[in-house]
Amino acid sequence: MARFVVRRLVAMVGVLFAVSVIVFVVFMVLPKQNPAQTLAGKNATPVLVESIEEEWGFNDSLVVQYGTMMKKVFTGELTSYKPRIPVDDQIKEGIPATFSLTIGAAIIWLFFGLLLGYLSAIRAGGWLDRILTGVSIAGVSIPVFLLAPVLLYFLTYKIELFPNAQYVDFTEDPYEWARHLILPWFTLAVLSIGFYSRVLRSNMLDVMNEDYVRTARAKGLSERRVMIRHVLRNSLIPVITLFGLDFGATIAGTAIITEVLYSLDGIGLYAAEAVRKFELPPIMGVALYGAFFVVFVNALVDIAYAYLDPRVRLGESASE
Amino acid sequence: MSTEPSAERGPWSLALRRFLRNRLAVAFLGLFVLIVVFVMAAPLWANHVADTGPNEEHTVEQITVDGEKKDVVSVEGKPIGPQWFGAGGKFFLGADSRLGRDEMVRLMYGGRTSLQIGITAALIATIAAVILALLAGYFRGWVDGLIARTLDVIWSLPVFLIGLSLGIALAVGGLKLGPLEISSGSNWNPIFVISIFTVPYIARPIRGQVLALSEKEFVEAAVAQGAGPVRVMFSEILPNLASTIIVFFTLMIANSMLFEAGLSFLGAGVQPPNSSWGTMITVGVELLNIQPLLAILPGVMIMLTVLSLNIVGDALRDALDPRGKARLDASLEFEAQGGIATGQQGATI
Amino acid sequence: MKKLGAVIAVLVLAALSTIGLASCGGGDDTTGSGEGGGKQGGTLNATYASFPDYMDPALSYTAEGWSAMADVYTPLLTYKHANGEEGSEVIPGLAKELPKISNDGKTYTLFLRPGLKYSDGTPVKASDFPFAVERMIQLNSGGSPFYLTIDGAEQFAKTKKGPIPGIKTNDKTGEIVINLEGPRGTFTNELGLMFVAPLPQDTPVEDMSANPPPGTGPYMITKSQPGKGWEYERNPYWAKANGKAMPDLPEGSIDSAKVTVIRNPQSQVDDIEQGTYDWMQNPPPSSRYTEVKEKYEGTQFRVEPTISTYYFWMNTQEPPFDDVKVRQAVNYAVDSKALERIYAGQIVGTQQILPPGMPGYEQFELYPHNMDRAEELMKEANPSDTDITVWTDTESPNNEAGEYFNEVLKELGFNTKLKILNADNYFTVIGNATTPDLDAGWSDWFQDYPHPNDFFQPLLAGESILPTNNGNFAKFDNSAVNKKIKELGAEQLGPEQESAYKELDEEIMEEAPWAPYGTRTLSTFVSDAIDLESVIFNPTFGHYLSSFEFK
Repeated sequence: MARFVVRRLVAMVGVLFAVSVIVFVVFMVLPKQNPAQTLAGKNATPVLVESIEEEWGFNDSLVVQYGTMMKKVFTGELTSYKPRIPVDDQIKEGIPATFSLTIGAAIIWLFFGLLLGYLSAIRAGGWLDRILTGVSIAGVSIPVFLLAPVLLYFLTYKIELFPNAQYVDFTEDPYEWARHLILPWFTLAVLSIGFYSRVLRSNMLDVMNEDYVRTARAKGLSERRVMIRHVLRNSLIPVITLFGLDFGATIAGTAIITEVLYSLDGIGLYAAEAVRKFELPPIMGVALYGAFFVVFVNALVDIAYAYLDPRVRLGESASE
Repeated sequence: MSTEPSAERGPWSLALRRFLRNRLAVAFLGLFVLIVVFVMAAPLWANHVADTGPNEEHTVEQITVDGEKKDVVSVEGKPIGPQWFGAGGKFFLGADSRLGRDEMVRLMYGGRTSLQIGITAALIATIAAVILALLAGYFRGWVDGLIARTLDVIWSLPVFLIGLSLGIALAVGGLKLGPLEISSGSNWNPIFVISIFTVPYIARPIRGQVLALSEKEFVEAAVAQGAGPVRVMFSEILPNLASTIIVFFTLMIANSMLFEAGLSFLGAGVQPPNSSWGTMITVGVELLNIQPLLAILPGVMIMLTVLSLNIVGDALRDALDPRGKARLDASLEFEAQGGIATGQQGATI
Repeated sequence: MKKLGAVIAVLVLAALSTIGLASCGGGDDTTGSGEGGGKQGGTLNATYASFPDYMDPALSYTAEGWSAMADVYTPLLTYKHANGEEGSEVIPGLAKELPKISNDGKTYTLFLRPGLKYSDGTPVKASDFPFAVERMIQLNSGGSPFYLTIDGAEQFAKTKKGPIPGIKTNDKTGEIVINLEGPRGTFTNELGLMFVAPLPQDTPVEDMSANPPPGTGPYMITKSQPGKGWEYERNPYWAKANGKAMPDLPEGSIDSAKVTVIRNPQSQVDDIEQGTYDWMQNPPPSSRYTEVKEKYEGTQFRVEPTISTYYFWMNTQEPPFDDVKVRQAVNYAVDSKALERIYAGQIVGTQQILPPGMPGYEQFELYPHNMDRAEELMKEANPSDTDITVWTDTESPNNEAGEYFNEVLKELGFNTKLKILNADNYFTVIGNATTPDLDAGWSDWFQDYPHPNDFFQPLLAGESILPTNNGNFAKFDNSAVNKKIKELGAEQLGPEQESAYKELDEEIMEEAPWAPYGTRTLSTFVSDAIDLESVIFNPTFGHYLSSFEFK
């Protein structure tokens, strides 16, 4: 077991290293552009461009630049180009918004996803199941950048029910904090509810056919008891696994479009701005932060899974 | 994985019958076919009804509707609304933006682009994924280690962030990888980006299946008979993966379409003057207050297409593997991979 | 089950209606009548669509930055706080009077007003000026090229070792003497830019965007959160010292201001309409522009002209655009009317280099829209190379203008390829000589200061063609024109020079290196708590914080 854990953690480091290299290559090698020229502005002289190159080390070899950048990542000195603000400060400042968005939406999507999945499964094949299936899949098929503007249009412009989004800190005003997050929570949740309900449904249907469930029924337990005690419990394990991974990914700032559309000052928005300005340091910062979360949570899930299922530990099942 | 052949019918025709019994799925398959016909009819409509191409601008022109002359784009920049057949089919759905292009024509041509990119990316990713999975699952050892690690890395990349950055970098400079060269405005750039990120989605569950299958007796038997690795992989193992592959391919088309739309929305996908439903939504969102249809129409088209593919894919899975055992393994692996919660990578089922 | 459903429905309805009621009533966060409902005082709630490039006067080179810091940092000279053309007049700032310029145009003498203080109480010294200049150059500011004619400044830029010999100051008398290497007609204007606003000499030589240095204006920035927003309070030393020393500069009505970055311009418009915010710095987005204009013009909305030119450039050094007939054909083919619609009315059509509002502007029309004439010229010219690449950026509606231009060129018979680049990188890419196929494309130019040389020299002078960070995209290099630009650039601006500039404008347009199409209007949009009449928009610095007043 311990060896498994160590192996996973080592793999984690390897992956993070690969991520940093890939991000660096995408930004520094692929575009044939000198960042110094962009920084120099519209009136630049060659002397100015050279000075900027020296200041930032853009005329060093790529390997040296990569090394300097990684060093800065670890010492916390990594700064963006314009303005020169430390990247880790900006990421820290983005955490409240991203976390608020993710946790709130996650609670909603988990609750409703499980509810809908449960109802679908116990009424499998019936009209309720059909409707819920349709709704779930529909929710998952809407592009988020259509859902958000339409919601904003109808619920903030036509009818002024909600504020036009912005992030209000919980410590400033809890009521406003929630009010500003309702639409983003709803948007994120709509996309995921369908997912979870389908997974739970299919898992429950499989478990319901297992022998021990039939045994329980034969023993005379009420349907309700059978469902909740035996079926639900056993179907939840994979769902929880999934949830953990999803959650990790969203915290990592992948809700970029949602944050942008609702102007929530989170990590996703910070990343989108950095991409728009095509600045490598903040993107490297966010990418590593994000990758770390995803890989870390992945590893945790794998370890927990290995703990629960000995087959996995010995490398026989589909996952690592 | 496949059912034992029944006495009278092969497993495929059994699956087909099961599928056909699912009336919901059949209906949505029909819808998908309709959508494909709709977009393929683009040149017909453009040439014979609307009399204009998808990129032709009519900013300062006027059209005659019921005898009256109307501005295609008003002086304040408001594009004209749907005319239906009022002007003989021109501007059936109105003008698309301040550039005064025909929305109906663009909707059809844009759909072609979206579908082309979605299907091509899914196809490339599926083929690549299957090959990688076969190699990894059959040879195991260091081959598996290398492939699995690479997939892990791609998997752990903040998909959207990198996809976005890559898309933008390519949009500026195109791609030059040795002999492979893609110019910057080409649709192959988003296809390339989408394919890369879709491969792990498919490869990981299939690899799991290959791992399991390669221990079965029929494989041992084939090897004992002197079959080389290529024969074993492609003639023995691959057919058993067929149903999984079909299901994934269908779902990945939907996934790719949503991914492309997201990339195009942020300017990293399809580049003007080419258009796709994704780029049309971008333009439409800006004009949402003036003409909500411009965003809603392409959005609804994407939604219907993705919806149909999801339902059909789901039904295919039911039809091809009713016992659900493989579904559990495949779906868990498939879904037990983060980064799909937000619809940017289109959560498919 | 049914009962439960009913209960839930009631609860949900109750919840929704509470939220609805709350939002209807609670939309107004303005503390507009904070100080008892009077005209003076109050806290302005403002919103920008993006955080300025820098919140440091030595570095910022964008409209957002200049607008944000105009009433915080006062240079030696400044511009009259007035609307329109009046705002183009240079007046003394921290200096007592406009500089005395020697006959050869190379020496500028100014005197610092006595008794001035920064917002932290430090007294302002004459030597703070060369400190600010050196700091700006050491930070590799985008504004430093303006000041390289100062004696020894170029050497300083290379070695970063001072002091700059061309600036001599006397802290006791307040005298500042600047020696230039050659006469520079635009130098007075450049002294009025914030790049060289004096700063206390203990200001660190690094980007202070997160903690802006003390300034001499009526307001000071008390908090800066890059990416999110910033806050202002009154500068206590304005009332005590600076305001008395500089009576011509306004002291401002509001007591404080809070600026929040809201990236969604639709939200901003809604917020102003609902009164949650008092002012949005950027104009309403095109989709709301007409509606806002119709509803609020005169009461909360005002159109503001800018001094800018939007144009399409053509590479005059390579076929097919090396033939003047082809370029003239393009000018005949481009229709400003179409572009006005594309910009939803926010562009006023022109076909000249200099825009209205710039000294030296006089209207003429060489190429009224005429597609037939354009096609005639194309036939005469009959270019052999018709494969061209057209460039534009992603910012709307410039990308649509680019698409329009692309179609126009297609109609003229060209085989075009359109490339749309990210707005932040666009100018760098098209300004880089190694980028292939720079045939024609979109561009715009907003004045740095109201002097015609600011348009001609960087954009159309032969010497401005640089291998990187090029601004002369048309690669226009006409020796007669170059000579005139240089001559006029050395002279001080007067009526003679103005008519010479007008002639230059026409002369260049006859060669048609560009197809200019319009000048941009911006706007002022405030909530109904603000007095629209009092708001001042300066063509160079944007809206002045000190001009906002509550009703």
